[in-house]
Amino acid sequence: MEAKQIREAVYLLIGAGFVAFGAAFAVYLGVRAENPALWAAAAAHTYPFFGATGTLVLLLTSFFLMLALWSAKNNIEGERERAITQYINLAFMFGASYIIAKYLEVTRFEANGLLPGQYFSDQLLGVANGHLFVAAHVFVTAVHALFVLGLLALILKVRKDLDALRRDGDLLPLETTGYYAHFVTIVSLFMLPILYLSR
Amino acid sequence: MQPKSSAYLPADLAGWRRATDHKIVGLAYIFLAFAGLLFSGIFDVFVQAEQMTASVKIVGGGTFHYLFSYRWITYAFLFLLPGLFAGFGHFLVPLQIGAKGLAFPRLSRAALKVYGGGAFFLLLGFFFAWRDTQWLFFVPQGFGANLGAALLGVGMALVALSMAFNAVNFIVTVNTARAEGLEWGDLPLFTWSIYINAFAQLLAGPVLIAVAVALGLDAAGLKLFSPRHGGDPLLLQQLFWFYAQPALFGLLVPVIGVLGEVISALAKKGIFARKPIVGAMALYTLISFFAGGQHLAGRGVSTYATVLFGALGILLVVILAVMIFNLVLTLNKGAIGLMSPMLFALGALVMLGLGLASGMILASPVGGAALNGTTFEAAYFEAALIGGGMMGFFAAAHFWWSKLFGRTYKEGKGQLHAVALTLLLAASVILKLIVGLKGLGQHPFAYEAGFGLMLPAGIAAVLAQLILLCVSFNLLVSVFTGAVMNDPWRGKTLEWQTPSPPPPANFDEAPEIVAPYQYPAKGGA
Repeated sequence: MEAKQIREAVYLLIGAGFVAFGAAFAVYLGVRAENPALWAAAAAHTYPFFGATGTLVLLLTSFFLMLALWSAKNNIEGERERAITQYINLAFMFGASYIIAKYLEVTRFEANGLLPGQYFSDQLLGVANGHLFVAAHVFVTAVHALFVLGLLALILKVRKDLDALRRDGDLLPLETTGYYAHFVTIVSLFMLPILYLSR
Repeated sequence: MQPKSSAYLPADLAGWRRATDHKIVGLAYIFLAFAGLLFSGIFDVFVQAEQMTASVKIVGGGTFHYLFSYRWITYAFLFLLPGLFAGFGHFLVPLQIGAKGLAFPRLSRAALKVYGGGAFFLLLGFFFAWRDTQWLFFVPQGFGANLGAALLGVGMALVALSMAFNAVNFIVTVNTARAEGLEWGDLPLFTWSIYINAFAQLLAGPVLIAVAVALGLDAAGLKLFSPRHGGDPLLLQQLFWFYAQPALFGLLVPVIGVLGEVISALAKKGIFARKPIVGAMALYTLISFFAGGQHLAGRGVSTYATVLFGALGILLVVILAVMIFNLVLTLNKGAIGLMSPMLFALGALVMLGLGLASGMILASPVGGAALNGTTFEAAYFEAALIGGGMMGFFAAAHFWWSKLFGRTYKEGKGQLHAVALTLLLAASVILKLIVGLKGLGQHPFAYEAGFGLMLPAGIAAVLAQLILLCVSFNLLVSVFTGAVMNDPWRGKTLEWQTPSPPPPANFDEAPEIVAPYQYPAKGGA
């Protein structure tokens, strides 16, 4: 496989990912447009803190992956190995903290009885069909969280293959993981205003 | 004599599982497509039998609708997608561009495994969803939120994911692995069709995956799409049609690609206006992404949307018509050999013609509003997707069978099957179109007397399924007992420059790169 082929494949998959998120956002905005009163009542149940934190940690994930690549290309021989490992560890840590932030957000929903379960009621928001807000919100964030989990798997794979990177100087896995991280982050940058800040 | 097919076929099951050779993976998809067609045929026989008369009923209404849905699910996801796109795409694209293989062989194998998982979940859903699932998500039936529905959603999503992987593989291979000197303008029509359809599979597939996530949430109790709980079923339909129009109806693009190859080789003539056909394929695919809403006319969408989507739908029909007319014009003054592949190709043209005529009426806002939801619409689907798609698949199978296995089928039987299948399918569709114009509903489980034409239409459709068994038998048996055959058509594309079946690395010597379809003038040397 040539580097050109792998890069092209990654671009294509990222393009497809953008279309998938286009669909997810369309669902969200469609449901929201049909239920303005519901979204007004639900404003108290969106958590901009979690949205902003998630976006910030993904930005940092992308940033540290970029630093890892930069180090691999430019650092002085001998120092670079430690720097790459540290940057990749930091990227993974921030990526994982996104999942933690998402988990905490979901537990808030659950604590307020908004997730299906023993205390679930679609009247909890004081407006009929309150579940629609939760459904649309969880739908978009669940699709995104799946992509973030994919990113974490890619970072782990890059870390596992660091020996090959050192031996062969093959930076392509790190480079393409960085592309993917940028894509996931860009989507998050759209999610923040659409799901959390717009009231 | 040792079968020549042993040149690249694995000796045991483990070899199939480990295989990354595009030819073996392609064959696996083609064999799975035959299995999918069998499932679809079984469901179809029940559906047709149930629809034949107003009085005699075999299964209940709910079961009928369920079987109806599964007939289409298995046909689209377990036959058309793996057969036309993944199967022949895998086998032929590298050969037609003079490449040694696909760009990502391991991705190829992974996609096959994902497809296997998807097929498993789709079929598993059958045992858990004994209710009206309605695969097209039309109101009022909607999509029942239960375990079977969730399994169906997962199955569809995995199949779509597998096709998206294949799409990446095909696109990157064509972009980067063409033989030296093979320019874009010299790519065969079939390779172009797979390349263009790959974009549809790649970009639309993830939307179906998003639909599966949404269905999972629905089944978990969040009721995103249930009208009884304030949800909007139209949203689900719109999402599904965003996928289905380019990815499933878009499979007519590979059908056109197949027909171009077959007609050109058996009429010994270059394809008429080949490059405009390629442009039309691209335009058809592009517009398909915006035209899914045409199927929702009369189903709760606004008048404005109905007119807009109707215009796009008519545009699609016109583009398809242009491609078909060009193929018909290819026949003009050709040295036409009425062999099995040509007869299947002509049958496909007949069915696509019926699909065009009915599709034009349905795409118009007035026609759509009046006839969507009637047997007319069901007949349109059958003409375009079943008639065009299935006849296209068998045209490809008969045309390239010797390339796949180095052996050939019984030609006389193939010819008989092609003619019989065309007549039966066309009769069934025409009769259903007439009944639809009289106002019979789309899934007529129970209806008033007075639609007697449903009886001969159903009999023709059931007989067509029996013929399909014979077609499949004729092909599959020939893998073991057929006469050895290398190049029966004297084809002028690169896959015919290598022995049949091809060696593991496809070409023992670098193929001679020439423009495709350079047949001598009729009567010439």
